[in-house]
Amino acid sequence: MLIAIHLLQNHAPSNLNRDDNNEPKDAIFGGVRRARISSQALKRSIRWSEHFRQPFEDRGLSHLLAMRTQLLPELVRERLADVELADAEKQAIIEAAERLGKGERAAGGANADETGAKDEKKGKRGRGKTTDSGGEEKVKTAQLMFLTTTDVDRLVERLSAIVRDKGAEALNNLKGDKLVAEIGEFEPHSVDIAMFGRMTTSSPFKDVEAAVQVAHAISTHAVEMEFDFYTAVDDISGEAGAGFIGDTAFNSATYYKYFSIDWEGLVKNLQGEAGIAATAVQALLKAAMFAIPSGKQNSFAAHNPPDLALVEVRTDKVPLSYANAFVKPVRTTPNLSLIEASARALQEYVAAINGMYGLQAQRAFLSSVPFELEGATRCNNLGELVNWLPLAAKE
Amino acid sequence: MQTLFLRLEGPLQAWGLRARWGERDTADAPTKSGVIGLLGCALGLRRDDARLRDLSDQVRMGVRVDLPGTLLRDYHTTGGGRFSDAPATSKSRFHDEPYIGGVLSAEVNNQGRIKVKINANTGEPETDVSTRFYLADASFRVALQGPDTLIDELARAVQHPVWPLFLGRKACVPATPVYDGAGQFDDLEVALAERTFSRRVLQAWERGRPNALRALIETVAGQGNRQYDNIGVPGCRVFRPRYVREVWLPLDADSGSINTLEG
Repeated sequence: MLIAIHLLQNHAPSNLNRDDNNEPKDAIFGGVRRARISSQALKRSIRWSEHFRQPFEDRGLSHLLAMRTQLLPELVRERLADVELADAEKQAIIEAAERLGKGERAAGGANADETGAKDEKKGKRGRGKTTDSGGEEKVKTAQLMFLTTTDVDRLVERLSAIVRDKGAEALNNLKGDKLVAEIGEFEPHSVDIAMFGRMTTSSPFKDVEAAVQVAHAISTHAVEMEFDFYTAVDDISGEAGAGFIGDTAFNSATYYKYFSIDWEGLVKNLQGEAGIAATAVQALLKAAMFAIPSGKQNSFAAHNPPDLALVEVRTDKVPLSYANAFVKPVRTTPNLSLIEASARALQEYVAAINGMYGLQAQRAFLSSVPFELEGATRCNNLGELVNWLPLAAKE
Repeated sequence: MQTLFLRLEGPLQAWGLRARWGERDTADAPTKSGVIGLLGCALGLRRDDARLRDLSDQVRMGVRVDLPGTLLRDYHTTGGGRFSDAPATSKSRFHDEPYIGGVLSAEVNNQGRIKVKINANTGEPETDVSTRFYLADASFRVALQGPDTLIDELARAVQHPVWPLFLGRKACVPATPVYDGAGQFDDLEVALAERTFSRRVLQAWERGRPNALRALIETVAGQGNRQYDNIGVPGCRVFRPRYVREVWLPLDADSGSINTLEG
């Protein structure tokens, strides 16, 4: 099952996602220049969004949101407080956790959702032990690791099992691949890793193939780059004229955004927990609607919600962007705004392309502008749209 | 031979040929490793599955460039930015919050707070930069030939993929179904000579139709151009050479029908 989210969103003048010239990103499509927001900028804004995190915090599931930490051994030490083992055995477990953090590949602290530019980065190795203000040693791994508390719980369980079965000495002697083999690889139990993937980590924390696909958002119409010439007056100098002048590039555009979720892939990444996956899908839908990249937002404050959200659920995982609805750039008319003209183009295209290929899908939409789609459920508010997602049965 | 056709078309696609590290290039047409990867995605083969290498050996590929697209350079950053608890004037950029931005260094201070990498010259939080190239608004018809049973299996898989398909990079979503039919053809060149186009291609040609279309036909070792996009060790970015012959398929002014599937 593939869940696709298509949004039309009109942003007031803004520079949400810029290139190395500080100009808004763009792309040529249909022979004309379009505004563009990269997928990575969209993903980052979603992951950091309260709309994404809140549903988990509300359900007492914030432990499913991954954290970056170097303090795996410390977390292991805390867990061991309630475990009945001798001090030497506990120490062996903590040291094993420390060894795991010294893999060849370092997380480098980067967002783990991208395609592996960080894979090749060597971490700073063996920083060893430092003394904190209390004088107690804090054991750290050599690199930041992208983990969940569930990862830590499982690690403690398995390391404790090794100590119980074979003794602390045996665990102390397990190094490198042998240690990993003994523990066995395990997949993370984290919503954001499950959705956006994890490509940089150390054994036994597995790489994860992302279950969410996010396209670069492009404008439905041609855009011109515009420049805001500005001056700043020195309040104290008493001199006439500007103390500083400059310009800021910006544009205003109606964007087509596309997100899809591979349901089975997500459930698998979450070790079969369909209920959590359902919460994740609903959280993603809300976050996709509301999260906006933060670029230049203190200057532009283009906090405009989408005017149209179309959600589709397909059996076949044939992803289909409706960007071609806008190959001929949309234009305003005396009677139609950009968003209305975009909605009309999308409405015609969706009907045509799905009829042409006979693609079956369940559809629901939420729109503030005129939009019709045969067979689709019209929702009156976001709550209805979120609840329409046919996931309840899977919980 | 049994032939499977794919239509690779979307706002963006990316077919890395030499990409390593911070420079992520794209070839001007789909690479074999990229297309085999797409088929692997349809079959549900992980990146490091040995079958990908076998598949690359069993299948021969031809590509017809219907719309070459334009090269897009994308400036991609990871980390960076300023944060409420990290005043720009502060030299000690340590944070409790695991969800802060910036490229986090592998350092933690005595209180176990995470250090953000600071650029020595600017004093700003460090940003990791990579440059990613894409083909914008391109459309390709790919023909794949191989053993009948394998081609049939691939045709089924592309229509009912195990994982969602993408055009070289996950963010590159197809704008038309990837499956573009199948049939019996003598060889790849004959297969690609068939005048089947997508609606997008015909639409683009309303403004002027090319006289001929460039096609890249896989051929035997030693002929044509050598390129390293034949999967060697799956998942390890080790590639073997393969040989590609470039041909131009003439296109009459009035020839060309829309994709048979679209009928």
